Amino acid sequence: MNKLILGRYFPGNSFLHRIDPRAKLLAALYFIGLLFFVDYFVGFIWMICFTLLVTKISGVSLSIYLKGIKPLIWLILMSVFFRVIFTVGGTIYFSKGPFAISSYGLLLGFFSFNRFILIIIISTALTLTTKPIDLTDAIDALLKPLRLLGISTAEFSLMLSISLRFIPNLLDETQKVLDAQRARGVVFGEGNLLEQMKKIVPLIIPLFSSSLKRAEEMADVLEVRGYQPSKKRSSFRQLSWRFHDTASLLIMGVLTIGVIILNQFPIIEQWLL
Amino acid sequence: MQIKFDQVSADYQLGPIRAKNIIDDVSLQIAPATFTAVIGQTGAGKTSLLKLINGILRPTSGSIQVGEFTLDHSANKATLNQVRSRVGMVFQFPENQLFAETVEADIAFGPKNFNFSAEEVDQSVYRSLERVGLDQSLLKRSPFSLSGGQQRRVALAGVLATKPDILVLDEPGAGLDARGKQEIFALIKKLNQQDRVTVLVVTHDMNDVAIYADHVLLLDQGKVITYQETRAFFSDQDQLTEWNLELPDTLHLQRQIEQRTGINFKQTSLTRTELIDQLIEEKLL
Amino acid sequence: MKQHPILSIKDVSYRYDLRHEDYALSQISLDVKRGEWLTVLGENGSGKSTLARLIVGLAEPEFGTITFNDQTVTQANKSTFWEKVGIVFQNPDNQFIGTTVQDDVAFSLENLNLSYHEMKQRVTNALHQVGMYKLREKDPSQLSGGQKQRVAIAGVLALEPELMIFDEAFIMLDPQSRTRLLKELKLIQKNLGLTIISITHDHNETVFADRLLLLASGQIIDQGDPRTVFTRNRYVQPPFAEQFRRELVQRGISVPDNYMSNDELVEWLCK
Repeated sequence: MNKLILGRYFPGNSFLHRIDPRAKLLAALYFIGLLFFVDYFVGFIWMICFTLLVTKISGVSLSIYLKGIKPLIWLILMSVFFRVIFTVGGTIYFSKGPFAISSYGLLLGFFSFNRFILIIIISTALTLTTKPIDLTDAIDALLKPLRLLGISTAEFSLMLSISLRFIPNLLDETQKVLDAQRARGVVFGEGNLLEQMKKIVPLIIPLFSSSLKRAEEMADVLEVRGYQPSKKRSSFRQLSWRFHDTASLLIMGVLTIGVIILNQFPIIEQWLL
Repeated sequence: MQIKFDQVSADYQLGPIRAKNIIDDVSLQIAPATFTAVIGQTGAGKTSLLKLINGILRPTSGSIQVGEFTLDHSANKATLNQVRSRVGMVFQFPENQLFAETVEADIAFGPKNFNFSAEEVDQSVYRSLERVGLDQSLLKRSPFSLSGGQQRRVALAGVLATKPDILVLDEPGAGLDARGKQEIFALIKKLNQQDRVTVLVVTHDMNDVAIYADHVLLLDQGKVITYQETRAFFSDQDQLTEWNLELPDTLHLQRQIEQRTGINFKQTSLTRTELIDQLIEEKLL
Repeated sequence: MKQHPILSIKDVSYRYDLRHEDYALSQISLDVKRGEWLTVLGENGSGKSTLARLIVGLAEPEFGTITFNDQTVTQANKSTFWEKVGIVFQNPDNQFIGTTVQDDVAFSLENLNLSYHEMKQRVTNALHQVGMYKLREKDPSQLSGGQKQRVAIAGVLALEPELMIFDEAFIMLDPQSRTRLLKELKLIQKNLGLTIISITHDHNETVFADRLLLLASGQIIDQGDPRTVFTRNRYVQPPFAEQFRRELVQRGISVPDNYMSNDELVEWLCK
């Protein structure tokens, strides 16, 4: 759990930290979408260069990003592997039944490996430089158009921000119950599967009961503090859109033009296949 | 059982958060059958100190001697578990750890984990229920149907049921009303005096310290500031001022009287009775 | 002209389970004067928290009425009532809704749909009043229990309320921060002319009360100024000075036969 970098926030004041969370979220989503329109090798080099630039201006060292990939690497390699063996085309080096290793398969496998890695790095860059609450605000802002359809997004955002707010409490509580049951002689992580499952009970029930109690108390608090789900509320948290936020979205345009142009040149592919 | 800290340091870890040296190079010796109040500000390392004694937290360096066991960085799970069977730990708001269907099953949980025989389990359940002053009629009830005060006692009974030689408690009186708190502390004192259980209690209430503890351990930023007998501790006015510590009510009253009359009493009063005795002696009554 | 009470409770009864006869509160009547500090003292199970829930409209009386500023509180109009009345609960964590100190203080104001400018001003003021302005950007995991309760109080003060209710709001704090906070609150109350109802089982808190009300088994046992109430009710645990006086009596020492405050006790002992 401690190894997962994705989803964590690193306090700082880099250029990336200062960009409006809405711009960051939009740009990250756009970038991820754009990745699926990259057709050729040179396009990926273009995207990799951009990603490296992003990590550079995030003020967080590249090694942290690579650490973030580590826990997911087997998952990635596995899906890349399936991609490779199920794709046939170009020179076939090896084949057995429906499986084959072909030059085309290898190329596509390499592309999807790249997509995975870049998606992780860009999402990591987003969460590393954006406070969870700012991200919630950004999600809220981006979901706003849904309100026109009568979907109430405000509740969803409040729910999200309250959940974020209570993560440290839940961690703390879990640790306490864990310690308390250890003190009463439970040795976690020993015995067969059934025994291990049994040991979860003294952990889950106290957590469950305290969460219920917490939820009840919080419902009261929300009520007496005048929260009414359908009523219009103002917002104390203000996001301010500045020039560099617009600029960062314009950069996405530049990136797109680059991809469109490079999609005309399968240079490496011609040489390989 | 004796407890001996030898240059112990430890870190605090919660999820991704890590605090270095929450206990910082502590050397300390606590005599058997003493009653020590552990005091200090939030983050001073009080709870971590208790966890170290209980084997819940492993030191990063140094070693702790608990009876015949030695706990250090490389202590294995078996040793830690043996220590836990000799040291009972009562966490803050221990009622939050209740989980079983009945009070009986919850109290029996510890003894069973520590491989008590069926007979021993039954015996210790009844004995500890009686100890905490609860009626046997509650045994078949669900712990969640009890009042807050009763739940606290059941949780305490669950720890006492393993018959610990050392009992460490983290603010056992927190949130209870005055009477509930007095009863819990009186119970702990009784265990200490009758069964010669070594007790360490974390508390913020100086009245509890003055009335129940025979020793005071003051921590700050993971270091031991002082470990001395309660009366000596409260007599050292400079030290109390330096660490911004409140006086127990009785002593506060004594100091007010001393200031007004200009008489310096012979002794630092820890209880109301002691203060009245001194007032009589000084012919103020 | 007789001043109207800010809050008036008349013959209020309440039970949690309508199938059973046990009432959590039965026939409670009580007037709260504007600007007073009323402490409701009772043990666990005396019905004191039920009383708090009824006053703020989290529960509805089965019989009787509750009026605030001469207006009856009903389930229909309780939301307007919450603009003038604030409550602070026991658990510091579960009432901290915002992700930072200032966000949390602003929460009630957001619900009133106030402008950003207005909110900013009120939040700043409220945080200054409880001494938390410097910590306005901290998140709850960086605060102590006492600091979180201060934030909760600021959240109520930001509403510019007429009545504040504390439902065992101080018992989770250590004695030192509890006393400090109560002393500051007394000053704030005087400055703003606030009415306070504090519900507690902590006898030490009664030294801040203008009026004390004893609650047991859902009924009002006695009420009056703390001095009178403690003199009349010898079985109720009083603040330390009075405990000490009672112990003197037990030791057969002739002491004045009425409640003593700390200052009076010191005075008497030093005479």
